[in-house]
Amino acid sequence: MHILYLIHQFYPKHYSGTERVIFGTASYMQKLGHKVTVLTYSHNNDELYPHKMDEILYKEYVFEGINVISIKSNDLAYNNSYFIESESLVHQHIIKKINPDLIHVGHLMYMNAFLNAGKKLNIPYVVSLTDFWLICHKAQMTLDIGALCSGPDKGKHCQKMCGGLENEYYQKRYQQACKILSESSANIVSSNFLHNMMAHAISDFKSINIPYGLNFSYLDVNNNNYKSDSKINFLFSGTLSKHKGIDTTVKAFKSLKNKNFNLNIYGDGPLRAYVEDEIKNEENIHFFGSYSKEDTKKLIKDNDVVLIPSAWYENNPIILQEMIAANIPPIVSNIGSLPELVEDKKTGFIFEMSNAKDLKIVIENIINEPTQLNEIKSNMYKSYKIITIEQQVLAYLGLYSETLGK
Amino acid sequence: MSNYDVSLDLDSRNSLSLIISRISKNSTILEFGPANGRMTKYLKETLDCTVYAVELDKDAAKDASEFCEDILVGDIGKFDWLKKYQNIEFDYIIFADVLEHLYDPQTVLTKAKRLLKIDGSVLMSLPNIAHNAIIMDLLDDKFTYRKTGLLDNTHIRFFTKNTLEELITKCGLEIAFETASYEDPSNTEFKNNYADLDGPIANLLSSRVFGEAYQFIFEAKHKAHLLETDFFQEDLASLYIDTGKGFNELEKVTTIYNSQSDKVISFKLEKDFHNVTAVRIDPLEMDLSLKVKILTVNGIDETNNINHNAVIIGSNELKFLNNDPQLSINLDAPITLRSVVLEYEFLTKSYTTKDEKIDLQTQRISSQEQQLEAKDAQLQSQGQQLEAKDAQLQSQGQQLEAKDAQLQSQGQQLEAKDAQLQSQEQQVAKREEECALSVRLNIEHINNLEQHASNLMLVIEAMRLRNRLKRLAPLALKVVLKKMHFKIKKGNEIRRKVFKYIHINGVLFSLKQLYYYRMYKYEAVKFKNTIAKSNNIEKNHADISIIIPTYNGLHDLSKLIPQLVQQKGFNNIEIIIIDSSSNDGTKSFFDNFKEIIFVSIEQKDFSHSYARNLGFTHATSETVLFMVQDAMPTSSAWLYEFVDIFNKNNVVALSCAQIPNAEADLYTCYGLEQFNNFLDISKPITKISNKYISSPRYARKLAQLDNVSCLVKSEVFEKYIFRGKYAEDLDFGLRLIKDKFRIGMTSEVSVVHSHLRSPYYYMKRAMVETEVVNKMFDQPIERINLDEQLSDILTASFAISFLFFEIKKIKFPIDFREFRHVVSDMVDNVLAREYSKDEYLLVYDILYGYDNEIMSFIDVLFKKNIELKKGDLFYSIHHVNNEAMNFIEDKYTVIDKKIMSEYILFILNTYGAWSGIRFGTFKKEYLEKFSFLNELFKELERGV
Repeated sequence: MHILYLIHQFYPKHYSGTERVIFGTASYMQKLGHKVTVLTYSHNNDELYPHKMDEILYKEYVFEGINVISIKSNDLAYNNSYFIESESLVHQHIIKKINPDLIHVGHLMYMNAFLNAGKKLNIPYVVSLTDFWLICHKAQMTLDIGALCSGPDKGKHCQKMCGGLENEYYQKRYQQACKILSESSANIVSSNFLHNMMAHAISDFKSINIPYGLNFSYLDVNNNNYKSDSKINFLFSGTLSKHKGIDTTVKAFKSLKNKNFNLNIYGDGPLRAYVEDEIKNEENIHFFGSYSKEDTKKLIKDNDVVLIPSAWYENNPIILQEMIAANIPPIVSNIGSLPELVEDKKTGFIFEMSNAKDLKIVIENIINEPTQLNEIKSNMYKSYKIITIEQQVLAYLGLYSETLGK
Repeated sequence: MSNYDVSLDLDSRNSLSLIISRISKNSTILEFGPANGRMTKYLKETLDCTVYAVELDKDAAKDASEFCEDILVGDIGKFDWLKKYQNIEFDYIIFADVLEHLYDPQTVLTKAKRLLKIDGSVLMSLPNIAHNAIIMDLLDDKFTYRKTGLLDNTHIRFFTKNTLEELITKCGLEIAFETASYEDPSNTEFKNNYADLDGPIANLLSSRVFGEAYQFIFEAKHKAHLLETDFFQEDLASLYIDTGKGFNELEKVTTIYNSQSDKVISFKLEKDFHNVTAVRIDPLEMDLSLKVKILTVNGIDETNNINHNAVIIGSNELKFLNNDPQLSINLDAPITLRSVVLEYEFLTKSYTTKDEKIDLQTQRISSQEQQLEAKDAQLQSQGQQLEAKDAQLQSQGQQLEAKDAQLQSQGQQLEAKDAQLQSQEQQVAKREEECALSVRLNIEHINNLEQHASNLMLVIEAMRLRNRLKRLAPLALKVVLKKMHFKIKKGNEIRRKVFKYIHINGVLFSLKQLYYYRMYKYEAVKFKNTIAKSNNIEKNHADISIIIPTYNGLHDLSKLIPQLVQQKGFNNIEIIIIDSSSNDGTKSFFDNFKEIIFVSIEQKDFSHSYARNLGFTHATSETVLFMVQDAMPTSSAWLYEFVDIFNKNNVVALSCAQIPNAEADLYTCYGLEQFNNFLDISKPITKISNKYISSPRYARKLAQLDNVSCLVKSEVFEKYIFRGKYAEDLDFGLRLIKDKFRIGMTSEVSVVHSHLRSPYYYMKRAMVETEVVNKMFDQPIERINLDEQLSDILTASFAISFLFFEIKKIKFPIDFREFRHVVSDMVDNVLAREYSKDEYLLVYDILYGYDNEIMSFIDVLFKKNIELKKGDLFYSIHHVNNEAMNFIEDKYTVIDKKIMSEYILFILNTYGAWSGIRFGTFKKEYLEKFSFLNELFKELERGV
């Protein structure tokens, strides 16, 4: 079969979570003998696009063996908050030229006109959700004031709390999202949390849960064994910002009396200066700056416990899955999908979001009794919920086949 | 000394002073046409800049070079400078009165732009061809070049403000600052006066915005800078203050006002002026009409004490006939000046035409005449008085003879005076005549001009309207927009946000939002839990035992074991590990799983059959799964579905198809697909065999079981168990179907299992497998020529090396159809050509890069002097290429370097495998004939 993947941005310039998922899927689908095309949007200078059809600029390239078609439009309607509604003959022409059996929507930002063109041609589609963009024009479910959002309330709440759209578009946008999700052959979520959030916003939302798969061949396993006096290395790796909880982490660790630990901080972000300033007199807290994917092996080797202390609706962070697959016990906050992958005191630890005192109690408990990690690690192996990229794609393939009636 | 060799004047508003005012200290500058370096000197010595220059005049360049880091003597239009200074990024590039001397200023500017820093500036000054002085000359049919000035005789190109803006825009630059130096036409080299023009024309010209702009000074930058403009928008009035030293430039205050809209000129005094005896207001420096409403000094109305140099017309309207209008007040007593305010009813800038002036002058002359007549009458009456006195004196004469002479002389004096008066009278009459003549001539001249002007008026009016529309409207709009943008940009974060919200949503909405901000409670959502759909398995299968032999497989096992433990649909899954003394920590990993049976054996005791049979002795379930450490289930329902098919088909042994993992390359995918095709399971299906057919190839297909994942009934296995070193699974299947058991192969369930292997490994595996399988099936062996086969294997290595060498020259990415076409041609070429042993070095170079082990093998053949001779392996390259291309065609429309290297490995792996098959088939014969192969074959058999 020939699958067309729609995604708002793609490699080699962009490589965040959604791109990783779509690339991994397309690449393995190809290994399984299927034809794949990625249709995406880009923001290069006009002269880098060799073709132009009406307002649509068009170029093709190959990334790691995958055919990519990248388009750009200078039409002002291409605002990243909108569902682009008005598909033109050009959109239809491009879809006809690719001629896919099925469209897999990775992300609809900028791409809805192509989905509409596909619908006109009776091409079925499935949607995989990686963020909240369909129900939140800012995609993050945080309000302009920084607080967590309690849901769109059919667009009315968005209109009250967040700017960025014309007045008449708030509720219309919500209705469009409902239509897209109800007409799709399948909606894929990567966590129960994401399903719940969507169902909270759209009452008749249906989905199937297929977590992101990992490429295990790149991952090692940490098989450390702990004694009662072992010094524990804690890892924080991610954006240094309030919504990733670095401030809570630093506060909690600074308040510890027992110094038989190391906290290794990797990453960069708005709170970098804050972190550097806070830890300058702390011998046990080390800051290493940003890290690359290649450092993952070193992170796994050098650390005993990983911290994911997020303070927003975290949806299946890949670092948590990688660390669980590497058998490194996690400490997570009780928000988003995090508690789905961790059972408190059995396969990891859960603390109350943004509560430094609560986090301190958890850490202190680990430092004072490191041997408990041995049992946690053992339990982690037994209640494994992480899947491989092959398993993820085979599950997708099952949905595709079901959709196409094969 | 050149025409342009004049000194630098920084005090007045001229093109050079204006350019210099735009330059920051310590900059790097490229100056075109520095002449003798008058500005260069200032740039270097005062502003500490580093200056590079381009000058045509050799002698001037010599002078200027003193102040330059480097100077290039030559024609700007030849662009030698572009190459010479290509590695320097300039803060400023200066064209001071240069561009108008060039044939192609656009190209020069465009190229110069390349040397400009990203935030650098091009500074340029150019004369304004549309200066009123030139238009006035044109009206007079004159267009005369001069040595210097606006019509310098070396000027090639002429610009107005508009065409200059166009030039800059066309060069891809943007104007960042603009200003001009101004000259009244009478101060220019043309010495033209508005007063010489007809009224409407004078007014028309004087109202032109840039009519008196003598030179334009522009600063241009790379696009995306804001325009700063310095063109005067307002009028300037001066207040002169006399503190006993007379009016002077030091005791002067100025103020800016708008003569059209303000109706008042008010001077702010920033310091005290004491003992002020007089003040003077110069409202503008041009002809104007003014009607004063009130003029106050320190708040006291002095309107009635105004002295002025104007003519009064109508109802107290002051008409100034020169460009220096003055209103002065002489104060009764010295005061300390606090304020001077002039309120007026109207103030219009209007040039008085010559006939008006003559009228006014005639009025003046006639008033002078009256004065003279009055004086004459006075003198006559004085004469009469004197005569009366004379008579009186004569009657007293004799007594006063002594005084007579004196009186006589007085009489003579009076006579002389009389004569003087008479000549004065004559002078007045003469003057009158002159005036009348001049009036007549002027009237004639004006009539002529009127005719001429009425023709010109039409043209000029049309031009004016067009220019206005084109220039003023967009300019005004541009200025407003840019100002607005600038203000917004300057605003702080909050202001910008507020602006954005208001912009998008309106004021009411923003206020509403502010309200909700205050009311919002910081809480996360509390969800109803409506878990997403997932496949549920309702009933469980009977217990199962999984047997996995392992050696140093921790990396794989640490991923596989948790996946097996998590398999759904079983009450109990028994896992048995047979470890051949691994040293990578495998044993301690299994400490985590007390329920897993871990059996250690010596490495030397390992064989595929022994390890599995030993594992089986620990198994307690009715069904056993044999598996390998690097296989991976496709989901958590994998084992359930596999066993389901096993049970439904009522077989004693069942294997499932393999699918590649995410790391698999083209050849791996192809190999698995081919194998599934061979077994007739390319579509999801379960094939059952229960009889033996004696054709070796067919028997192999029917008997195929695969220990990567193989389910077996314990009661059957117990009786048969595995045997032999290799292919124990195939042997097991063969024995089962011979005994009429039902066994099967399914692709309804698959297991993820593939390796990235080297070409040499494929050679090893093919040799070992071929030997074992042939023995198993008693394949009849045909006689062949071993020398020729060995030659074929060596020659084929030459052919593929040359093929790879050619393929690497292709430019990637390339369209698949073209790739196929080009490579097919290459294959034809390498098959057609002859090979010589001299070309071996290239073969070695190429193949060593892909697989040093297979190259070492070929190296031995080469050194044993095997002949080069083409055979069937050599010619099969054509077929292999076709297979690879067909396989690629289904997947890729464009070929990049990654796919190219996978294609090359495809060919090389096939070469390895097919050579291995040949060695395996005739192993015994080869060893008998070529003793040197002994070592090589031993190496090939190791570690499969």
